[in-house]
Amino acid sequence: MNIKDKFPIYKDNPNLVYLDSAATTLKPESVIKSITNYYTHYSANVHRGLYSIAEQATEEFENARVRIAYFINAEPEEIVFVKNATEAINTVAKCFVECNTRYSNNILTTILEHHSNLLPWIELTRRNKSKLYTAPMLPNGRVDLHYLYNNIQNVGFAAVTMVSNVTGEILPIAEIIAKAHKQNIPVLIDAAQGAAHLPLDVKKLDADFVCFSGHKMYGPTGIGILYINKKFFDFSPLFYGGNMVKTVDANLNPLLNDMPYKLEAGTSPIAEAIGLGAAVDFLSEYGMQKINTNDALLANYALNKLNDVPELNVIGPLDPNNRLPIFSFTIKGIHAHDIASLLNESNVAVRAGHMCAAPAVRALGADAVVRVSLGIYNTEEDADFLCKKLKQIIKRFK
Amino acid sequence: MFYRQKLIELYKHPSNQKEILNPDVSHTQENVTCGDVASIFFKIENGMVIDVGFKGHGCVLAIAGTDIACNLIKSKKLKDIQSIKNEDIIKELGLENIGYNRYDCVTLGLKALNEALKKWKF
Repeated sequence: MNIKDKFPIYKDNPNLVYLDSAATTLKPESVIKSITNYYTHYSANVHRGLYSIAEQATEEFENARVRIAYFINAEPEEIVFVKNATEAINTVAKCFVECNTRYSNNILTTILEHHSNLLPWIELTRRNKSKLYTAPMLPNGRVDLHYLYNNIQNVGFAAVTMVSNVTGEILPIAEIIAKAHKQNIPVLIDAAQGAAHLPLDVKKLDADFVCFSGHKMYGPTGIGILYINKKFFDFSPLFYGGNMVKTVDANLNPLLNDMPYKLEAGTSPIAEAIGLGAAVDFLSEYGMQKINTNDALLANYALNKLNDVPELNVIGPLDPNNRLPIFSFTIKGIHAHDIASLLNESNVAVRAGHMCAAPAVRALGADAVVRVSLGIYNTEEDADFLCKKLKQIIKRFK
Repeated sequence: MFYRQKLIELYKHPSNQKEILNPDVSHTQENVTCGDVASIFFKIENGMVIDVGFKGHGCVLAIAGTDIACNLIKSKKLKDIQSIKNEDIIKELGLENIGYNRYDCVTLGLKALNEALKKWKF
């Protein structure tokens, strides 16, 4: 069976060339069905009702948590359901780092970060008048790891991306965590781009905090994961109410629930959590190792094809090593928005702009770029078609 | 949306792309999400636009839209300019269904023009 057959969107849009998986991936039928099943057959609230469909909802919801935990080799209680990676990062910044001077005195990050892993730290360091150390970009389009490693000693906390959503660079997170831990510095890993592509083993990494969004890994929108290592369970909640409270005593003192429920205030996104469970099943069945191998081949192929277009300038690393099939480029004399709109006329979906990472795009010498990001359903033919269309667009502007 | 070749030609050779020295009123408008910029200048006499020009950089829709905005105000009375709508620019460019995400591109020039007018003491 062709992998595209598992994605119903291709039935409606057989000519769609979807190259925007870094923004959001398409959804496989199994994920869509799991959500529809919940709403059709057992759409009760979780952790409350004592009737059958409520029991079933709780079981499916908690079962999704267990499978997601297994997917990254975590314990289920270390898996907190949040809205998305952005909410997860902001939660860590507010509820763990900012309220503890040991961690909040200077933060280390990189210029490559998505705004979601940059702004919470900019705001935090401005509020408490500490310094944000930002590892710059090297001329080869990769992050300056020496800067990163040399400045661990100056900070209380580090927050870095696993993979750049602009250049596709894979950062050596195991090494970063190991070096930070030598100086007792906890690290947050933004795995929003990495989770759908690279095997994640939080135990092997000795990770502290890891965040990712469901919708970038073939799951639904509105659900993400905040992994918190057990050693940091003395985490204050941001929101109060709902299942995060066990009871409130006669003196109005709340008795908070245990982790992870303590951080899941209000009714959870139940269908979305079940959908994310189905998404990790989909990824596991396909095999993360196989995805990794395909990514490397496709990244190499697409990079060569893009480099064959003389007017096109790929920004970021030009070598195929340590990268995902995510490419940003500019074409002299043609604005990124025009390229994206013109590609759309041929059913090719790409992203144009600053990729919610304006400092990274600026560091690479551009205002706006076109980004092509490939997913599990993309093939060499998609890269060929893209380059053919790009050449036609260039011709129209000559 | 469909990019007609005419639109691309307008982008490549806009008729109003020029800086006017000592303009009576001018304004620079930027779309911060993409870095597109349009600076619009005009000369006014007896409540009428006697010359208009723009400088800037941006996508086809931003540049062509700004050029069209300039065409629409030439030799017009200031009070008549205020009634120009975004839809007039879109219609003049022959565009349909431009979509939410490109709306700011097409209307960059008209925004610059309206902001410039605010600086003029009627």
